[in-house]
Amino acid sequence: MKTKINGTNGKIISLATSLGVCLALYICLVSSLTAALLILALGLGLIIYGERKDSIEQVYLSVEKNKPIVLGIIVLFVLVLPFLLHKNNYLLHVVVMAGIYAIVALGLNFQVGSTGMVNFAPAALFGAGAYVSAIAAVKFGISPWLGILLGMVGAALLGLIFGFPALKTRGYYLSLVTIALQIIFTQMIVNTAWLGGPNGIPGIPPYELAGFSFKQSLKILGLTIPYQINYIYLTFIFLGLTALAASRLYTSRTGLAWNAIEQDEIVAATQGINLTKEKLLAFALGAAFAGVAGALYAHYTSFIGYEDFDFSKSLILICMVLLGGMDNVSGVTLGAILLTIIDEKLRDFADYRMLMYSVILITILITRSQGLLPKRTRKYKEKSTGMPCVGQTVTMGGESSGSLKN
Amino acid sequence: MELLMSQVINAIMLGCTYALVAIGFSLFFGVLDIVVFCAGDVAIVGAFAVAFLVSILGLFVALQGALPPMIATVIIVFVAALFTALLMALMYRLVIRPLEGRSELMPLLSTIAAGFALREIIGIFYPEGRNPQAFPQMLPEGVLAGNAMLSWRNIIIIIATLLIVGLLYWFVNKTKTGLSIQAVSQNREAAVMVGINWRFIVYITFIIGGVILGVGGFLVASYFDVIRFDMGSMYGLKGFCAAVVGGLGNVYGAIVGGLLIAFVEVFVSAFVPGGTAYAGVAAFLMVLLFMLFKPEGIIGEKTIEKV
Amino acid sequence: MEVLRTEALTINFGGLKAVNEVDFVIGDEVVGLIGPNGSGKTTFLNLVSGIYRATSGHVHFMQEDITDCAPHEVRSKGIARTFQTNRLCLNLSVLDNMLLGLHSRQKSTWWQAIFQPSRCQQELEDNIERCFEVLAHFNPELIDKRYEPVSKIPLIDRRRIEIARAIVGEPKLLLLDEPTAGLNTEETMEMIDDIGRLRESKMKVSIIIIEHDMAVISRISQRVVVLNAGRKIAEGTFEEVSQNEEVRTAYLGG
Repeated sequence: MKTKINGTNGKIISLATSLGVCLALYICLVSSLTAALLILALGLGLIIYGERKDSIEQVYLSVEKNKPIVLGIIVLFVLVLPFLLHKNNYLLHVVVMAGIYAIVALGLNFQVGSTGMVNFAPAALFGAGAYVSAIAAVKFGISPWLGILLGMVGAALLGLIFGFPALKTRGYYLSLVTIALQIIFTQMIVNTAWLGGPNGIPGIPPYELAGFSFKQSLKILGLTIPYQINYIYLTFIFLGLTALAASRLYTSRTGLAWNAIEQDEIVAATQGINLTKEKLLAFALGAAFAGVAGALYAHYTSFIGYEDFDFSKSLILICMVLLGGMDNVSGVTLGAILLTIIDEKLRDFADYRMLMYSVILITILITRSQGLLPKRTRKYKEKSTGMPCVGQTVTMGGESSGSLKN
Repeated sequence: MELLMSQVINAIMLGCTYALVAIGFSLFFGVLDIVVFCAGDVAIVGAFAVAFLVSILGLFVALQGALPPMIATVIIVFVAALFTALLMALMYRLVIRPLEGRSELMPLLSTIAAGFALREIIGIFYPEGRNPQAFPQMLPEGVLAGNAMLSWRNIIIIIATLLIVGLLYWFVNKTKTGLSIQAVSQNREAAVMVGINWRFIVYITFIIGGVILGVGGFLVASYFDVIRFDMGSMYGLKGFCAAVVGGLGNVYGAIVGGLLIAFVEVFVSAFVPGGTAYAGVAAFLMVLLFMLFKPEGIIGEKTIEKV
Repeated sequence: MEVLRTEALTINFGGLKAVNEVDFVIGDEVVGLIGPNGSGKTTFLNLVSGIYRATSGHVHFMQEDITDCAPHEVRSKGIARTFQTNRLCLNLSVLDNMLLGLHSRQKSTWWQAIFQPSRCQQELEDNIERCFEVLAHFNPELIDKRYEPVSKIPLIDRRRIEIARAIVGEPKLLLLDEPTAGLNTEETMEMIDDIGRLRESKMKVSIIIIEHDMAVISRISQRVVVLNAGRKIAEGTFEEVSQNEEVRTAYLGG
């Protein structure tokens, strides 16, 4: 699909690419597991083919250049999607969950993808946001809207605590520490009656806007659409905002510093990067994302329990980052959405769900550990499009240095 | 005093079972520098293999006719341990070897996934696999010197652990293959250069590790009397903690680490009011503190004998 | 003008004094740091750049005590360095590696990156221009390759990028740890030219250079300091030092 249009202009390529991705996601969503996996394999095949022939660069380039078109298509797709699925609130639910997990995965990517700190406790940070917002609403009657902010701050603070060990440990040791933190988090919730203990927190109020409860179904153009539509729009607004923030961070000085830490801590430090500050920032910001997602989740499902935020959820979140492509914002988002869909499809297999999950994960790891959309070098918007050519005056510290090579 | 003594023995037993899985972690880490996270699950597969042989095939009863019960037990555990050894070699071939040369996160995740898969396979294919299973009692009943704490079961668990550690010590230090394992652990390039078949040594290590894990699974099952398909995750995690607290890659550190974690757990649940619920939390907190203040473990770096 | 001065700088590695009471001064000049293998040259640089913490003694930089500064603080104060084994971030592009060198001179925060992108973009554009200027000094072709990952760049250019990365933030002192290691004779000469021309430019950077190749040292440095077994055993011009008995025995392994 992508390689044939090579010669024509970039607008068509980017249009076709974004439409193709949206269509593929839609088919994944509505069809069976086998079809979803086939589409995933097909997509991966196309990407690999493109990489072999180098034509993928064309696609990346034209998508980059025609961002408004691509974003427009995606926004349109999200707007239309609930109408296409209005008879099936289960699928609408899957879409909401995809959006929520994508936000968490984007935050987790700051630690795992950008900075190379393997955090096995993203579910705990996600849970922190959910519990803070839920407790605030249920026990103190605080508005869920304010709860988003509280959940974000609460999770960010927990993220700071979780990040502290990262200052002292690395690699496997950090993995173990975060696994321990994840398990401590789960056990503390189970053992604390005030937090609902093993019974969880029921009856979390939904969002309300000018008297309109988000739990009401929406009537548009004579169609009655299940209440999930409200949450789809809400979640995807937040997903859009967090994805924007994440991509801005990626091209910023901070994102570059994180990458440098991932590559070589000593070199990073000798370039003037404050390791303590940047590592804690990666944890706190990532946790803030997870906190927002957690708050949305709590007020969407209206019930939360410890099993929503346990170690296996953390693993699934890590897999999302891995499947999509570490340190690639679009990749991570795509990975999270795809894996949420596959995860929900696997529910049909009840007993076999986790087994198939593990087999899929191992297959991905072995066949394509760099993920669907691998990490790429950054492209910046430069001042002048033309390069300073060799003959031009090239200065060192303001003075012409005359003797140029060649 | 009575209570204290019985808790000490309890902790030692639990510590022994943790130590065995921690030794597995350390062996694998030694030769490959990676964490094989499914070790706990492999051990529990071993326990289920024993349960399968005894409860379903009735092997113990069949053997008892011809042999003394002790020998029959040893034979059954040996068969189960051979099975886990093969399983471990298979794990290496299927989920670790294809990821060689990639970032260290990859084999960690793939073995975590493999652990999940093992757990699920037990749950799905073992009869009534999702329910807790009573573990067949094969160790002799009765107590030593009329002391309730010194039951034969407890003594055998401790002796079996010591025996395994002793055998491992002998193997690693006195046999050519064992010395090769040490060489590969210390410096793979140099070992290859002096003509050691590195790949073969890795397989041998996984097979030995698999045997130890199988026996560990049998002991931990005998300790709890009940086995569950998903107990491997916690068992593996505690074993990993023990390995790290002791100093990853160090077999003797693994024993100390296992005992330390078991003592914290047992004593918090026995002597801290309301501590039972927080025993696990306390153990993990201790691991956290270790990581922060003594990341090389109790017996870290300084020891030359890294197996 | 004195740029850097160490007083009785010492570091102890479990009984081994890898750097032992070294007094060292550098002004506006190029100082060659030489000595046999294991004499403590790289350790000395690691001490100055804050990677190791001194057991005793002091480091003064521009009249300020920086003995206990962390590496990133040392860099912000104006000491940049390169590494013996070329340590670029191989995954990152040429330009990204260069921009890292400007990290300590940038002002924008993560907050501004998210909420005031136009301001960051302004800073970024200026920085990219600055990186181009410095890259052009070393090898203008690198500007064309700015978006290529460093892993695809030949070794000599990697060395150049590493020095360019160190110099782009306009440090007052540059520490070069064997900048010609792994280069052939011709490339070595090119590299010396590059380094020499750094001093000709307006930016007055002082340089401490570790080098095994005595031809390089004699060509490039105004003064030479010799270390042996962690101690400073001689100091002076290259000619003076090469006449020194103690230096000769040290190199001959006496």
